[in-house]
Amino acid sequence: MKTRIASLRSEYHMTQEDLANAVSVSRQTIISLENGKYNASLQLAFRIARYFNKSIEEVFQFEEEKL
Amino acid sequence: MMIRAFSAMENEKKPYPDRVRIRLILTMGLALTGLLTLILALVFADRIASDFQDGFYVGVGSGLTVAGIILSLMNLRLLRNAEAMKKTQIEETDERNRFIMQRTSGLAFYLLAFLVYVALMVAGFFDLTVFITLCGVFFLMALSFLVVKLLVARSC
Repeated sequence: MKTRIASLRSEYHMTQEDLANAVSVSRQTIISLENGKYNASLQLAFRIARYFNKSIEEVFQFEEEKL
Repeated sequence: MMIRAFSAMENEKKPYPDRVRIRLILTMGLALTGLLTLILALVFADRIASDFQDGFYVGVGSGLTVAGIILSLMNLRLLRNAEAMKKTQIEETDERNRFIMQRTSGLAFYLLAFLVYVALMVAGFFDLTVFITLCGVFFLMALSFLVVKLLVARSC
């Protein structure tokens, strides 16, 4: 899943550590989310979106999996 | 790790400091169990069947005692240091870490089942006792898998 976390972070002048502390996850989780290696749970997606005052769709771009 | 898993399973909805307090009690219990095992092994050394078994009890007892003491001290440190507690809480509750643990446990189980199956097939050519023991292990693994799956499915 693609995310806009990295660009939102730079807009807000935040480090990965800052965001990780703000949404109570490890920095490694933020790194994996930004790299698209890990898909956030619905709860974490909400927490991140709310932190940036955005809707989930504005932060996470859903890509349909090929069946 | 098992103590963490146990206390997490029991108290997922409790505040984290309460969970650490419960964990402290469990780790102290672990140290006491180890100490008891050690004392029993030393006191009743002459009644234990072989030197190997006596050494086993002494080893397990010492290991549990030391592990229990170290883990208790770590939990005490967390209760006295709010920053360390917050850091540990994030590490433990981090969803990616949990995902990694779940996936690792699942894959490790299948790998273990496969290895037991291979050992069972090989043992059949050499020793009946080992073969029957491994059959039992394989059956228990399959049974525990089904029971745990049912329990987990009921909780979701």
